[in-house]
Amino acid sequence: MARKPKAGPASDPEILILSSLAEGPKHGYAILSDIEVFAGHTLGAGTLYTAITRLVEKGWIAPETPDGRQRPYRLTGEGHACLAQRLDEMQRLARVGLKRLSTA
Amino acid sequence: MKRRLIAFLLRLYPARWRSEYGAEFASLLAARRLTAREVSNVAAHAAWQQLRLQQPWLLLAVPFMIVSLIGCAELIAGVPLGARQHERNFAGAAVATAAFFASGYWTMWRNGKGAGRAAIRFNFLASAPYLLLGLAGVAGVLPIRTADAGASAIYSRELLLIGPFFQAPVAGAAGWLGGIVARAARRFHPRATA
Repeated sequence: MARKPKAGPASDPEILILSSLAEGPKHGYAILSDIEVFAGHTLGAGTLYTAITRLVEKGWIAPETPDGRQRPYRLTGEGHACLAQRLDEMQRLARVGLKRLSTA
Repeated sequence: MKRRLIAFLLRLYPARWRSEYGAEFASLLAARRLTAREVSNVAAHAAWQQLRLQQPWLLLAVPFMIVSLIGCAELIAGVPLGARQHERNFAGAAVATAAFFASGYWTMWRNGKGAGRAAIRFNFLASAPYLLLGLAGVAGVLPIRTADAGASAIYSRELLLIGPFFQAPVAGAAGWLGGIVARAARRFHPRATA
């Protein structure tokens, strides 16, 4: 069985969180579960909240009204634009890499 | 047991961070299996938050204080001052002035005020070992050699004691200058956070 890649843009916690929130607002636990399902990565709780803190400070995500002890986060307009740009770059890179692999 | 562990892990984070994210983070930890890997992940990120949220001048002053401690240890142990001591002192002063500037810049960038004050605090904390050594010398607790034959610099207990006070205006001015540069730089980065 092939080992899962441990590093690279597809395992960047910020990209993973932004991609998760692109679907709609989620709280911490829901973000972790979603990332496990769509990316196959298990982020640590510390990693998740360090990335959330950074994304809030950058203004790419914003907290919503708390639901009990949980507080959902949503993608901001700036976060949306940034995610789109980074995914576009990854797609371009993947296209070039795959093309070269197929012709090699 | 789990509740105690969560409370302990939360206490590792800075109070400022806890007041913003503490409740939801505790709730997330309560819903997860706290394996050794998870606990170490949380502890490592708590250390990172502690470091990140400390005042810039404090973070910069700690390595300089360690260097001062080494210098004090050399003086106490009686390591000869040597012919190049003057050059060594000059280089140290230049590096310290650059660090005063950096602490002012970083403080203004992050807090938006207090650049000069931060550099003065940095100066006193980094020089604290020399200050204490000077005090010990004046009190007669520790003998301090004032000069060596052929050495280009001399030390005295009085000099060690008053040095940080003489250096304070230089620190304040360098920090203030760093603050001015940071304020100008912030205009090009409107997203700079407080």
